[in-house]
Amino acid sequence: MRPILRKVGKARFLGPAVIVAVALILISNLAYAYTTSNLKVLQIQEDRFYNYDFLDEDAVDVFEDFEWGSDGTSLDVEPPHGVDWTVTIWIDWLGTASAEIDTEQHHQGTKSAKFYIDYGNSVFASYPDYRPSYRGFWLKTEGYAKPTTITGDGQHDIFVRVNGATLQYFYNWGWQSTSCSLSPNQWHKIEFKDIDWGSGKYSIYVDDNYVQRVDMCPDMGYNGITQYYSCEYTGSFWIDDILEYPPSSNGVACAATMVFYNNAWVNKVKNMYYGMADWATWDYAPLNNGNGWIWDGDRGTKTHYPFNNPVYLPEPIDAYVLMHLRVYAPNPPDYMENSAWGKYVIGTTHCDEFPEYPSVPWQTWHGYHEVAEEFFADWAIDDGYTVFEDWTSFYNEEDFRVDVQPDGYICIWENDGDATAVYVP
Amino acid sequence: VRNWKTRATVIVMIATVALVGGLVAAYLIPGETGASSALGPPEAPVVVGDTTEGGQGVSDLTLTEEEKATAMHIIESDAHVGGILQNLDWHVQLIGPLTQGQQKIGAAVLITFDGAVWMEDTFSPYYPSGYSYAAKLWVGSMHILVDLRDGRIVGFSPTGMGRAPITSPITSSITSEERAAAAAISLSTPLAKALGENVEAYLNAVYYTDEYPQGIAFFNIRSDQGEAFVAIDIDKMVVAEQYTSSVESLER
Repeated sequence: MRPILRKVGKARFLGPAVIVAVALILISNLAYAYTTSNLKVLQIQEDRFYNYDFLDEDAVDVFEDFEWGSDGTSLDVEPPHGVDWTVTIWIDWLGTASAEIDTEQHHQGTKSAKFYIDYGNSVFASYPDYRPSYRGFWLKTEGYAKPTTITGDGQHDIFVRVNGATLQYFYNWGWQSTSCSLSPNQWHKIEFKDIDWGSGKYSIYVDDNYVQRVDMCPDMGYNGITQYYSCEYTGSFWIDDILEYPPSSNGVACAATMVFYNNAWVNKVKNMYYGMADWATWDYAPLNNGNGWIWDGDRGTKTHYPFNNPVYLPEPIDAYVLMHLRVYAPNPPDYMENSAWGKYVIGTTHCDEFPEYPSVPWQTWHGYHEVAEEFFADWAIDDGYTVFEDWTSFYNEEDFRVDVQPDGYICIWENDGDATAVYVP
Repeated sequence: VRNWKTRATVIVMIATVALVGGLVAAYLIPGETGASSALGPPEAPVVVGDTTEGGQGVSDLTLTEEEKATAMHIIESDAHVGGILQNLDWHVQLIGPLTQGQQKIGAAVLITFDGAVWMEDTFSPYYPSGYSYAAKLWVGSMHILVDLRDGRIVGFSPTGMGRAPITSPITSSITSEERAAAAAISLSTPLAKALGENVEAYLNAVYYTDEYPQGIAFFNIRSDQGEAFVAIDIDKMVVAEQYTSSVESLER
């Protein structure tokens, strides 16, 4: 080391070295500044017109009762009726397969769709469909039919069949049996609820009874399609009254009002407040952080079940209310990340009517997003977090407006458009 | 040759130190790097595309001053709602459009009373839905919906339970004996006892439903240590646990 130190002491070597060092410092600072300013875009799609009401036909994504055809009409007709069916039939070497309107069996009305195969043939009937938040249909089986249905978004599939009397779902490259048995020659109501396309989970209900919450299987080539099919064994099954709801017509049903950044992820943020709200209603948010649209579903963090810990808010509401924060980021990893915000999640805030437990009375409204934003921001401040209230525009300003559903449920929009940032260490 | 080797080694070493030091310095400089510091606000997002897309285009749904005036005239001249309001002190807190999907159908008004008032009525957030509930309760504010297409009120409901004033008398709802018994039950709950000394029970609301045809009473339990709600099934004179809870304080 000594020779080097001696050399450093000589001015003729020190001059160029200092110049190089200064240059490198400048370059490294510029490089870092460039990366931090490379936050391209953040968009949170909001559904300004609350249309989750299931009685509102406009809010129903898919409804198919097969009342449009006559007996023996193929589902695959032009122009399309009901939903836009495409029917594919594979005949092995003899026999038949069909997917047609049937007047002998029906759940409601006078018709249903009959799927029939024999001699190992197959029939597939599909319609366009993308990420429903709810799917329900009525099913009746006969003989050895093995009715199967699948819905995929290109990443995950809901894949379910009835094998014998057992309801099964496809996961981990095999059919997993549930504890649910379906009686042949009877109509059964099959439903997939609380569908979370982000985490790939859904709950199966049969005849209004909860069966199991299960995982979707990895994509098997069904992107934006729902399909019913029958193959292998001779027999018939009927489907009727298919009903689906979208996750949202446009996006999340509350105003995006908060960013939790630096080192935030979904559950970490929820635990800053009330913790997980496993009973709360799912909502879904499309987010775009510059790399395309991504979806997440969340129940959020909320006052405890059923309605513990209401808050008395003076103006403008002057009533006891419940506070609800939903936190969105794709799952996994349950956060988004860029060089400017680190690991971050987006929050939507709103108040819920109190009490909300059914019948005393039914909850009839939610909203007042700005009020709720201030509440959660103040909470974070009180807990010692660094908070930048109304830090930047999210371009979602909305003056007071009430959007009403035919069933009377109302969503109250009220947001100044400026979001709050909370630094999460 | 040895001089050149030495010279190169020195330059490389200094350059390495400078590079590392520069990166560390850049990382630690507050205020410019957003996520790296709690001292300054994070960088604002850059939004591409049309920011009016996806729901911002609601400007055509705003209310004109004439529509606001019409809505208020309908409210104040309504036999039922106007009749109730004419004897009370209230003001318009917020007024805006009433929409159904992307269609403006009328006006929505949030009115706030100058102090909570005791109301006894059958309320409906939206008459056309057919849903209504009977209740007697303290009300601090109300939602009133007006359909301007046919000039009538289509919704009249409290935003929720207002806060029972400490000294205001309760007029009616349940018999005085029932009320006293229910209050005593509510004060005997662990939730009430947890509030320490000098705990008072104020009848805050009574809801009448299919499940509670005789009414379910919500008592607001207060002391200087906090606040809670205890719900009493008036018919059975028992605590309805699922509706009983503490109240979150805004002061932490």
